[in-house]
Amino acid sequence: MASRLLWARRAASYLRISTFHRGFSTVIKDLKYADTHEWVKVDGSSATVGIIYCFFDVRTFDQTLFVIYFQDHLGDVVYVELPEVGASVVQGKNFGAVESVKATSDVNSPVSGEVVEVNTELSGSPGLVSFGQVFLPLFYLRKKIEKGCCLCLNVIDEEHVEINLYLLKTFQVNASPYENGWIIKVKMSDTGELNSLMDSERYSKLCEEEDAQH
Amino acid sequence: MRLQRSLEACKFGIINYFDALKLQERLVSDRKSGKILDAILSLQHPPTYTLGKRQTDHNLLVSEADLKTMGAELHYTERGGDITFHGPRQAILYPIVSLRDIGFGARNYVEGLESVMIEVASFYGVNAHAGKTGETGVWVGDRKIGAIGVRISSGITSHGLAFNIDPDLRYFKHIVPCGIPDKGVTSLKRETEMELPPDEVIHEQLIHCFAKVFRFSDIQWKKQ
Repeated sequence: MASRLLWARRAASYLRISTFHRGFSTVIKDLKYADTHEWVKVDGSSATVGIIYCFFDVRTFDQTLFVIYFQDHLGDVVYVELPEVGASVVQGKNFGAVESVKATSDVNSPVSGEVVEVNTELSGSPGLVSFGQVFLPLFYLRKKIEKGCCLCLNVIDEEHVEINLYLLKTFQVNASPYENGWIIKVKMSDTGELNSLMDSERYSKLCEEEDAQH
Repeated sequence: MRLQRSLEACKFGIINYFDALKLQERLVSDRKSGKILDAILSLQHPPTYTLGKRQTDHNLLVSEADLKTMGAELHYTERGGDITFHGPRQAILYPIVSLRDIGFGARNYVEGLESVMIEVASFYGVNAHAGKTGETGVWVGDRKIGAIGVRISSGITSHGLAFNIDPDLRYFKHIVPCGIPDKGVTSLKRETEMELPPDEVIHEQLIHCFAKVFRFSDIQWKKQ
């Protein structure tokens, strides 16, 4: 992990990228995570559920330079299988699925309860679930970046850095993922279940640990 | 630091699709609870058509009754992907692995499966490649030689790949394979100039390549 960061720093300095700091709140209150990569936003006994699609990992190297490491797990989402309104969901059990690039991934519910709403927009636009969660402050790199884009340096190994200019309609839409990229809304049967979920900090540690193994 | 990871390889003959499905479900559950380590099933199916989660049965060009007459079965499954055909002389691999433990996301996993088939095809002088965006699978020119359909449940994979050694390609005429019209289907037998060894050898080669691509340190062979 350390050598990867070193490489990212070298690559960024080679590109002579400078940045400006845009404040962005990343520790979003009332957002919890399951270790199977679903998020839930809680409001009283009402829960909104979605999936974590990719991870941003931002490191600061000095006053003027920030690198974003981006990992996209699923690929293009082509289909989202939704449950019916009124169906019950159980914490840790699957309630639907997301299909991308010939792989169907089950989605597990972080909470138990009754489905009160499903995001029917996903039938026509399954890509809306593609939500990237930011754990540390997100900095937009200024060089040739338009509003709504970000420049991602994806460090592949010691010798290869992949640079993607992401126009990211998906990310733009999911600047408000809780409005667009959610899958179901649940009336929780037991708010105590939230205690077994992770907060932002623990979840981001889990992702780091998973990442560091390889 | 690389952990030593073992792959348990189970070799079967021809097994019925439904039976293989039940076996996979059991293994996925065992893998999830940590009862077993990563495993891979190697087998073939009797003539069987399968549909994915999206149930795209408009890509089946004959009726279910006709299928029965042909001696083929139809199954609806939970895997990704569109309609496909499985039959004798087509090598099937069903890896039951933990994506987290092998360090792959869904997309990289599918790409890894593609590279396994590409490599084995190359042993026989066949130059195969992955498809364009949205066309998963392995192709020789614009003819499909290998298909992929994967299900991921709490990070554990099931279903997998199907590689055409020398199946009866006429069965593919009754479907729009993988929902991609105007593209043909082919087999290793059709594309190679070399003589093919027994199917078992090709199955083993696929398993060895799988172990290499997904960085297993050793294979434990089990015959059923």
